Amino acid sequence: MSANAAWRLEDFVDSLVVELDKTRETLAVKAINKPLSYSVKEVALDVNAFPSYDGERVRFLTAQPGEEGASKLTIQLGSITDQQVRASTKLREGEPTPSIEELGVDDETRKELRRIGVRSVDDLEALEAKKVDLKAVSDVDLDYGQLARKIQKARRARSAPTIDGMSLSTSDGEPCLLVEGRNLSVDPTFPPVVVVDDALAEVLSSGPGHLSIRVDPGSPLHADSQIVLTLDPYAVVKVNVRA
Amino acid sequence: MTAHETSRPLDEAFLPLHELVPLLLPDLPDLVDEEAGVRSSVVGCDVTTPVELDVVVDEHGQVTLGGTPPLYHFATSTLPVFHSVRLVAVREAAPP
Repeated sequence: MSANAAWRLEDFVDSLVVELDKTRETLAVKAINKPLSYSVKEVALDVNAFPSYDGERVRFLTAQPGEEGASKLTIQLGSITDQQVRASTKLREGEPTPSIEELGVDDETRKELRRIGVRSVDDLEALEAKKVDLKAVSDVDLDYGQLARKIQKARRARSAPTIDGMSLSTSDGEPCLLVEGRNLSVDPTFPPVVVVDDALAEVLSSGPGHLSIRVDPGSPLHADSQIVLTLDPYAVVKVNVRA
Repeated sequence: MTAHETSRPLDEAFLPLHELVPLLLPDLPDLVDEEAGVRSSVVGCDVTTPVELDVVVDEHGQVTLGGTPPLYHFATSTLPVFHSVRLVAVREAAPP
């Protein structure tokens, strides 16, 4: 053997699980030709290894001949059938939530969240629902309010607004600018705010697919108008319109 | 390349665990005493054995496990590292 490399426990266990699954497949094939075969109910592996911590993760280096003082890891895998997995797995509804990597938090916060087992927004929301005081269990100053804003920002980034087209139209006999697209006004608690050439414009109606903006007859769109659409606190779109 | 970015093939003296494990299970025919009218068969086994392991880690951190029963039976000044594997298996009839 050569090049002894350090490994993470979860990768090691993943590999062991895969090997156990393949073993079951091998035995199942063997059972076709032989009337009796084995079913593996349990596999336990004792591994002599040296743990090391690099400040972020714990890795293990397999003990080599002549090395003394290794720790012994015992990994025990029981047997579970596909049916049992299906019966005991709670499916999450809707879209998968952003991982903490998508939240845009600083490295220290991300590491601290990972350290306390938070890997996704789902995990964070579960902690908040149970009123867990993050400051009490972590070293950094974590605040649910700040995190909630980052979560909303990450979710908005996943459904960013897209403008497909703009056209002039009329509403109740008055000229209006119709903006069509996707994911435009998606926050029912935040009515969009539109500024046309540095002047606040009235939004007549809004929805995910459209925005209808009243055009002031006294100051119509000119050759190179600038329109700023603030759809919600995390989505601001600036467009130049040529009338 | 750091210690955890190394990648190499599994040592040829080692078998992937899914090939090694079935070899550790006894493959015995039923014991039949026709005179006494008795048939005995192995219905399960619990095997614990020392193994040598080859743990290969690729550049993505993915682990491949190879194992073998102790390769050499000579007393040497530096002994190999013996890990241990335990298998609990039950014998069952194949589906019809």
